[in-house]
Amino acid sequence: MRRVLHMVRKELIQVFRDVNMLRVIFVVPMIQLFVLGYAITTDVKNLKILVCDRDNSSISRGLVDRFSYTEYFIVDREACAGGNVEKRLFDGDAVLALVIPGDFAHDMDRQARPEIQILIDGQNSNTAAVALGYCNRILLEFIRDSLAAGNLRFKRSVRFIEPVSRAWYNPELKSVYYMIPGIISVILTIVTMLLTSLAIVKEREIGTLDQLMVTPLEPWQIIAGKTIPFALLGFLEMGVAMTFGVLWFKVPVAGSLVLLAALSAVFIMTTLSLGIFISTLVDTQQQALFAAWFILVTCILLSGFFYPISNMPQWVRVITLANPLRYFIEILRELFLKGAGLSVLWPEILSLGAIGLTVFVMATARFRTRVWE
Amino acid sequence: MTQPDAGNETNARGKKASGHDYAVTVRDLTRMFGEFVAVDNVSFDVKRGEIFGFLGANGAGKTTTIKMLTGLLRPTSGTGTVDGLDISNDRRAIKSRIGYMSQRFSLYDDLKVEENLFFFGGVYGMDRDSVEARVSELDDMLSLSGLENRMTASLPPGHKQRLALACAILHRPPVLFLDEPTGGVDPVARRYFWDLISTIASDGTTVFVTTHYMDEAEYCHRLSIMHAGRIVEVDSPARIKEKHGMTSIQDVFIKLVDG
Amino acid sequence: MINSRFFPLMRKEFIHIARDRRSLLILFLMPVLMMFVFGYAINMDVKHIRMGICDLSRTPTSRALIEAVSASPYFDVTVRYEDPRLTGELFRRREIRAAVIIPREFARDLGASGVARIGVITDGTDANTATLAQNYLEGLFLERSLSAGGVEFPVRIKSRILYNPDMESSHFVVPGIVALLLIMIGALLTSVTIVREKETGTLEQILVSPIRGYEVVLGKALPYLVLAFGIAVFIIIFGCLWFHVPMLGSWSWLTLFCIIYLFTSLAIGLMISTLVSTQQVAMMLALVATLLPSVMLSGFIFPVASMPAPLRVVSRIVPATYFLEIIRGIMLKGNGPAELWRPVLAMIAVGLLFTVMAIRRFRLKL
Repeated sequence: MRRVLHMVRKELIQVFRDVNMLRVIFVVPMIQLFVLGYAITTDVKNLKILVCDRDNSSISRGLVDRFSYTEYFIVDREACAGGNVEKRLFDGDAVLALVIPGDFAHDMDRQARPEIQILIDGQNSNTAAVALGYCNRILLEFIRDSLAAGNLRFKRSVRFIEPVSRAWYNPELKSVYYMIPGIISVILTIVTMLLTSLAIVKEREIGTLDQLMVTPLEPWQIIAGKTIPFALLGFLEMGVAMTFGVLWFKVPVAGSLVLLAALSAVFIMTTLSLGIFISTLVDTQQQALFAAWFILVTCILLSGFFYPISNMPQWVRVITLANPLRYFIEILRELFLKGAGLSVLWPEILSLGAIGLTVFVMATARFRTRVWE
Repeated sequence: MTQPDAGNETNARGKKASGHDYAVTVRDLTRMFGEFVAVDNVSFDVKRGEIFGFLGANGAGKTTTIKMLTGLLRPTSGTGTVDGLDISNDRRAIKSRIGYMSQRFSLYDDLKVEENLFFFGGVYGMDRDSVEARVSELDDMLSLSGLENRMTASLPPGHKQRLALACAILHRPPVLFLDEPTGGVDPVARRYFWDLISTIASDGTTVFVTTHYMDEAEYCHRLSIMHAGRIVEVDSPARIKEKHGMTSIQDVFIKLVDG
Repeated sequence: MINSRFFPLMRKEFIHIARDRRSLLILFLMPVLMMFVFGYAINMDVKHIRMGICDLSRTPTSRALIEAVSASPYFDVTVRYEDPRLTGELFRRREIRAAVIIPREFARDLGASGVARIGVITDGTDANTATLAQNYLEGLFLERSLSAGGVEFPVRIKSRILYNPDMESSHFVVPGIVALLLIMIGALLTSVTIVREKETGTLEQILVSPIRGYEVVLGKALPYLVLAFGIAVFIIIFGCLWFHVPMLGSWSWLTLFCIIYLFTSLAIGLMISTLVSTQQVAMMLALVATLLPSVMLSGFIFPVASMPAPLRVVSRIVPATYFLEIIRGIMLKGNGPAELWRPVLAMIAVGLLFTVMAIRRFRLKL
């Protein structure tokens, strides 16, 4: 054990001596957390909507006002000269337009069912879907309220089913609550997996790995010595990121911190093993970076970080079962927001543990054969 | 060169540990990389306390041989012992009985001089006090004092080389492997370094050294000349020259390699 | 401008690229993988949301409502339960993501006052799914209200989706990946390759030869730019054939704008190489300075308009923001320079800005 401590001390001296490295470890992730926390939102806000109101009655203006009162849209009242709206969409001035026909109020009143047109640039299918959802919602609410207020004449009175909606665990439906646990997992993966593989490959490049191999250090001691410091850094990083997330983004942490720490340890063991594994596949730091990056991007894409796994096609969902990040993100989200415990999270914990153990065994076996060929 | 006080002690230790006359024995050692035969059926013995030189051009198989002896590479076939221990089966035990310094002076550039020393000492199970004691004992020889707090990266090559040597002999290994230890160092420092090696050997340590500098061959007690994975000559430098009727090792070498 | 000394350098760099098979493989595999995952997996239209229903009313009216919810493709009613207090437990066990609670007095209220309240609870852990679920349910209930009252919907809402009528996310993502990849190779690889020469000391070796500074930079960068361009063409063709991404505009304009964009990313890579001295730091910096903003702040997936003001300002100096508008405009809308002159000019301006900064720093350093 004493020998491992010497390795750990040496590694920590090296990390803390390199100012650039420290920036990479601590400053960069904070920037990521900050930027991603704000930028990754699947929500739509402040979207410019071209409104062409050919009716210009008090009713149609009331409808347009409803669009301008929301935070989703910024209304740009548009002259409706022929083809102008289409032209502006084609030019990319806006991605959304609303066309209210002439005699809209009158037609509605005499139940002629006037047609409201929504034109949307479908390039960004996500934005389009979400924006369309909001448009429909505003229109529905407008119609409901008009009916309720008796603004429209009808033969029979209409009875309303009025939903009272509540979102639990996140009443304001902030997507940042959903994203922060994901971002923390990703940052943790970068620090542990990437830095470990780079640190091992660097020793191989400069020849000190051979020097270590001729000393009485056992391969497991070298592995422990190279990984423990990054595990510690990972924990530190996680603490800093969580503090930032809680204090700045006000993400609630409802679950047990002890459980969080224990599960993070399992996850970190997995990512460190991946780092060792990468180091046995490559010869240079550049290749290590590429390989680590490739694995990282694959894991992020297939983790449900941005998009729900349930939306993926069957064959992709099968692949995600082998992705440790998928389980850890799920664990963090449930633990942060809902305060989930062992009784709920055990399937994820078992899967994560199994993957971690497999990767660990594979990585150490490869490390041994790689150094004693 | 002054004799360090610890000389006698080391000598005594070397003898005690031995019980046999050879520090290194090698029989029919072969290593292949795919189809390529890097070391081809090599056999030789190195006596205790000897400076044994391994002379050969780049790619002759010197480094591969040293890597097999130090446990960095698995032999494809053949056997060998280091300090009486089998190189295939007793790798763990061998490791604490050897010192190794490679041509790249594999030190941590971003550690200070003393941090490198404490680290490598610690790896061999030495505590800070015994590392400090050993360093001051070696200081006459290595003149590293005053540099403890310097960054290793900032040292001139000659100093780096001596620091790497210090790291390799901190734990008083009975057998010291040096793989082209003088690469990239100026002639004065090389000369100085060979004096150090002689001192270390006179204390009873066996020194196994590879080189491709012909002038360095003269410092060795015995010499083996390697070419294309085979040993083409083993003997003392004087006997080799005599046998081939030539005045310098360089001429012998060129004759053996070209012929 | 370019003389014979320039070509050996370029040839050497091509050899470097060709030798490193593993990196090359990753460079080709990565975009294909991204294309597949993004093309298939990005789908905001969440369907099959697991739902629990707690019907305390147990009247024909409430049962009709439940049937309507069950029939919707958006919800799978997986749990029916009697005690509303169980809702929390169901959410915690992740059996459901949404719940509808129909109160005991539902039918009575509907008959008496004409308005009956109904509880809709969503799992806010996933804010996006929760929002969509709320929107679906609200529309559904209104429609039911009207049709139950025998009233036809007073307004016809016709939505026309332009340029990507099937809302295929791949149509949106493929051009985005081209933008990402070009900047990644342009900035990351060129900065790393220059820093590597700095680290090994070979840059000095080259600089003492009679070759000129800009020749060194171009000679080192051009092979990567050619490589990047090759991969970009590969992605576009792959996307067009596999995902049927349309290419409505002109290939020659696209090529020209690609080249401008590549030089912009080269300038960024060059600037990074002047700032750092080790490959490791160069890579991290390149990742943070190019990849992160190009993915997150450019509108690649997440709309710029939804971001807070400071980030919107940053997105203005990210070249990918403009290039995305250009390449999507050309491919999906058939835009030409007449419509795209603003982003093109902006991209050139940003590119020039980085070039000037890079050259000044490069001179200073060498």
